[in-house]
Amino acid sequence: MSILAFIGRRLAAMVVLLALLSLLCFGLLGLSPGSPEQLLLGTRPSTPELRATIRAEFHLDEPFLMQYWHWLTDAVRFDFGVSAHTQQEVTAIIGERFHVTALLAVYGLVVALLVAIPAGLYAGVKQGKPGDQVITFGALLAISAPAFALSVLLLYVFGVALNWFPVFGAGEGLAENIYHLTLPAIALAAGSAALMIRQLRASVLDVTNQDFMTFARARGLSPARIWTVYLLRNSCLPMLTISGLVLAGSLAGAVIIEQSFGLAGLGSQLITSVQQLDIPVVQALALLTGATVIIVNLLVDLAYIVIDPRVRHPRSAA
Amino acid sequence: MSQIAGQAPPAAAPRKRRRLGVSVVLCLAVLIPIVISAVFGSAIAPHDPALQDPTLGALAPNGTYWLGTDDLGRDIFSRLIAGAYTAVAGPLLVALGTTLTGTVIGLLAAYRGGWFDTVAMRGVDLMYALPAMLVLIIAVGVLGGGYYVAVVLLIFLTVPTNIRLVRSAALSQKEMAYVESARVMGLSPARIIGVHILPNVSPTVVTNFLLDFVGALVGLSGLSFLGLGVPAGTADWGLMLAENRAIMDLNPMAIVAPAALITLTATAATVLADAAYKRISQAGAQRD
Amino acid sequence: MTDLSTAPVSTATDLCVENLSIGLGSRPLVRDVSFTIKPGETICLVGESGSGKSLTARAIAGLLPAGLSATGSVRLDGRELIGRPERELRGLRGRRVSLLMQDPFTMLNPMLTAGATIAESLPRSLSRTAKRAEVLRRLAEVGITDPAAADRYPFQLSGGMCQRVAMAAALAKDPDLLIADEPTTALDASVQSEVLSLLMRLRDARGMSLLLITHDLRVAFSTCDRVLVMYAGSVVEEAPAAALAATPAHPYSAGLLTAMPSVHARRAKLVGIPGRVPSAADVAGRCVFEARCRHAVEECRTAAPPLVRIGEGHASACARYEDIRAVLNVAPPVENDTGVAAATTHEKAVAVVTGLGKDYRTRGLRKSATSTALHEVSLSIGAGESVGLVGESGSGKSTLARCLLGLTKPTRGTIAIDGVVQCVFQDPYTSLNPSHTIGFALREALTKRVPGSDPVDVRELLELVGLPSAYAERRPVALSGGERQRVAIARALAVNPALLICDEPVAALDVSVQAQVLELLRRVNRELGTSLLFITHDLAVVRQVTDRLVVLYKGRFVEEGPTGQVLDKPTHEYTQMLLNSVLFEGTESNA
Repeated sequence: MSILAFIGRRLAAMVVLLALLSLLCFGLLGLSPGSPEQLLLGTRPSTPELRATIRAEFHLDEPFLMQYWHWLTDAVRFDFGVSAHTQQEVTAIIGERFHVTALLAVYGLVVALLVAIPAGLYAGVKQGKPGDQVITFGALLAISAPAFALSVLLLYVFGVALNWFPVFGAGEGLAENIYHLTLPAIALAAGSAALMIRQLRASVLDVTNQDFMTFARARGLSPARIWTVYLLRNSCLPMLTISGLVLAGSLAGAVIIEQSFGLAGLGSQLITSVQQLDIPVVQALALLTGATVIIVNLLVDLAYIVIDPRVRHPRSAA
Repeated sequence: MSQIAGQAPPAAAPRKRRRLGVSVVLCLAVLIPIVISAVFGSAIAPHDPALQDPTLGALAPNGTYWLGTDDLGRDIFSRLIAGAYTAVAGPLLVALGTTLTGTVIGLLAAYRGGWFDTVAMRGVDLMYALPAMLVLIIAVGVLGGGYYVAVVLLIFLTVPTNIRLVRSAALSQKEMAYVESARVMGLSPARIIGVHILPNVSPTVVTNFLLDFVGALVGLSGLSFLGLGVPAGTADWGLMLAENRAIMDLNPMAIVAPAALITLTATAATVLADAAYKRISQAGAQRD
Repeated sequence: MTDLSTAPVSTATDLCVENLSIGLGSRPLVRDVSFTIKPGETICLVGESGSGKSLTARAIAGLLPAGLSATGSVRLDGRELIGRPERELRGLRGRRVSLLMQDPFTMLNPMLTAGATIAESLPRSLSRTAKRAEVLRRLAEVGITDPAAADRYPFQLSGGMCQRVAMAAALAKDPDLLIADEPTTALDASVQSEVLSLLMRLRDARGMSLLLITHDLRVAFSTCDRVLVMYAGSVVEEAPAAALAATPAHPYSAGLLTAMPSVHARRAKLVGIPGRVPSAADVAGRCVFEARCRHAVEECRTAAPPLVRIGEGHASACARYEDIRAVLNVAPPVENDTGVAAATTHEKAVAVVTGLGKDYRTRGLRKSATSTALHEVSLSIGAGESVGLVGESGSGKSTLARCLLGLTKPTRGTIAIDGVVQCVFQDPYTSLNPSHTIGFALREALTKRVPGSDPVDVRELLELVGLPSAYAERRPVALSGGERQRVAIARALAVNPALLICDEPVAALDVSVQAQVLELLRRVNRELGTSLLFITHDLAVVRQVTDRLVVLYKGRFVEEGPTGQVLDKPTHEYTQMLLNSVLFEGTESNA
């Protein structure tokens, strides 16, 4: 019962957040310098006919909330209109570039998890030993180094100086994609891996000092069971939240990475559109990114119901 | 010492100056020259950071130009010194703004509770759902406005984290018996918050200040890197990194130096934040 | 009982500990502990915090925290355990030696159900159904007969239930020796005695040996064959339980017995042990207790006295035992308290509570459920009176205190207070602001002193609670728990309150320190005339300090009367149950 209530509350909160987000995105048109008409005209010559078409198409003569309503009903059907700059369908622009960003995000998360889980566990278990100190210092550097600084350094060292990886574009086909996206994925993963390492190290330290670890050893349980059922299960729980944050944040992170590595993804598209004041594209990308964050957060909350009994069961005494 | 053991606890250590740790000294060694550069700027630079000499082109480091020049012949080293201003001033403003407002709102939300707390926390939740960097890019890019608009926006985007951290630190203090005793004694809320709770959340506040500085440094220089924020031609570490990408094979220092400087500054402030937290919370430690 | 794994009643193990020392690097924590446990025997290690008793237990199980190391010898059936590789120790743990810990809520893996925690220690060869049946049988053995409990997670169970589940898990591989480290300390008094008697029944039924670690002499006397008293990392006395209770042979043991409050009588003066427990490292080469011992002479400072046999199974580490034995077991004088409250008439009331009730709203789905912490209670506290409020956790006793202090708004009823109310809380570590000096705290409190009171300064306040005036410059971190509670009392007195509410003020303190704080509160009541509302779960403590007693059960007063009378002749069955769960005290026979 209370699980349903929990899910219900989360869903309701999600809907409210999405509504507010969409209002903000739509509001961009009104808040931008210059008249909406001028903005939507883009680079086209300003003829009275074209202006009238645009006014009609975007319902510019109706009140603000009606305009929003028209835009929203289209948006939920994935119709964001056409780019003010190229007249291309916004959905088509996004469709073309989506896979590069998605691949980059997933690749980055995989790299981050592959590095962070062993490193964080090792640092937590070997607290204070030289290995821990190296890992902790590395994580500190990685968490402080901005993604763009790291991108340019990686490009210089592995792209230009050593010439191991390409310096531009995403390549064709999955295999080439993966090869081309390796440096960008590392640049994207560095910060999140560092975050994960710090979190995992702290929770391993916390769990190893728990009474239940000593009690497990006192009962002669096998090291395999203590490691998996006791240490891993308890210390890896917070990793789920972080993975969600990382995945949701990678769209925002992709802006800088794609710009640095010349990748034609959603992030570099956003910069282009922002610079061109191509409002329909910016609106769509902003809504898409915000919605991803909100939905991923919801999924993480739901996942906790499945894996953490403390969330699954109401906290009432038997 | 041993005679009184068992009779009385060891005397409280006199508040003498404790020696700074090696890591703190290293951090200060990084940060102090940067702050000096930010204050004096081009006055202490060996060359005019804006002076172009297209005949030079992108030179590798040499005796005259220690870190070489960019493709317009401007001295990299001098531009780095001049760039310290935007790397320090904006982040400092952001950190001050967020720490002040975040601490005040966080303390009040924790102590008063009720509607104030509810409103504050719902606002925080909303801001958490927005990816800060993206909002910054869109807002600065679409709405226009330069560096200082970005500074104000960053304050808004960062303050929720502050509120949340200060609030939870203050909440755990609020439950402690000494706060309840102060309430029973009839001390005013202002005194309880200011004299009793604030000193005990100060480790969080100081850490927030330094970490917000780091976040703003990364955010603002990231904006510059993307060509938003500071105007083209400004000596700014993020912008230099973007502009000099084209000449990385001619003068690698043109990108390595600004990248390293941003990273070093951020790392030093982060280490300082960790050290400050430990030191301040030890100074008022509850248990020995 | 057709089962496959109950241990036959005769294979119990012989444990022999010789010169066991534990250190952190070169810093000693436990020094030269020696004792043996014969099959089926129960040994108790008694000591206050910092005595090294828990470390000793951990060392025997080979489970010392990282960084600590043990030297000496621990032999199980003649096989040496110290220095044995972890792999071999693992085979012994659970099967031969098992360890039960203190906190029932942190001892169990929160990710596993009660059944899974027990099942993971059962043989892997069992089928699913056989395993389930065995789990239920094990749960029944520890008194949990509801099969649904097997599917509950620790956070869904009460503390007593968790401790029973942990016990079943610790015994799942049928060990010959169980080490139980303060297994009942975290539990309510009534649950405490249930769990303890369960432990005794299991020990007898299984014929296993038991090493019980406790800070509570009552627990030791009611369960053990032999008791070892530890202090600052060393054993100072070893004795059969009855002999220790009747004729303690070390000034420390005698001091502990004197400091222990009795539920049967009120002591004329509560005597604690002055000072604080030193660390083992600071007392090398001398008697560990010398600094706090009123019998100490020069020879106590020059060498560490060995544990010397003085009788049948009785040994003392006091060099002056022969000189002082006559004064060691003098029973402290008691005073008659059965008629105190009746004899004193309190004309003026400082606090009158009428029909007070408090509901808490628990957040449900749609309908907000309310739970009632306090039903309509009425209470009047006279000027200069000392009233005890007794109840277990969840009885509503703290809610009543918080209402009186104005920290919580009552749902119903009225409170009329004549004068100012102040409080002393339970946890000495959070009752003082760590950022400010003691002097700052007291000066701040003095600004709120009731107008018209006699002027008093910080030095006098410190003197009043028995602390040197130099303490004004110190921060709380430099004070022991008992000293902090005294400062908290001084801070409350600075305001010159008419009523002082003490919410479990000594529950977190060691017995020897408890007595000093209780004596101080008694003096505040008798000499300053401050009324006391003394809230506690401890019947023995409440007898020492209060004139009148109110028993609170599930938010209602179930019994009220002069303290001595209520405790000697309780009329309500709940009070009787509470009294029955008070364990053996040492002034009675062990039968």
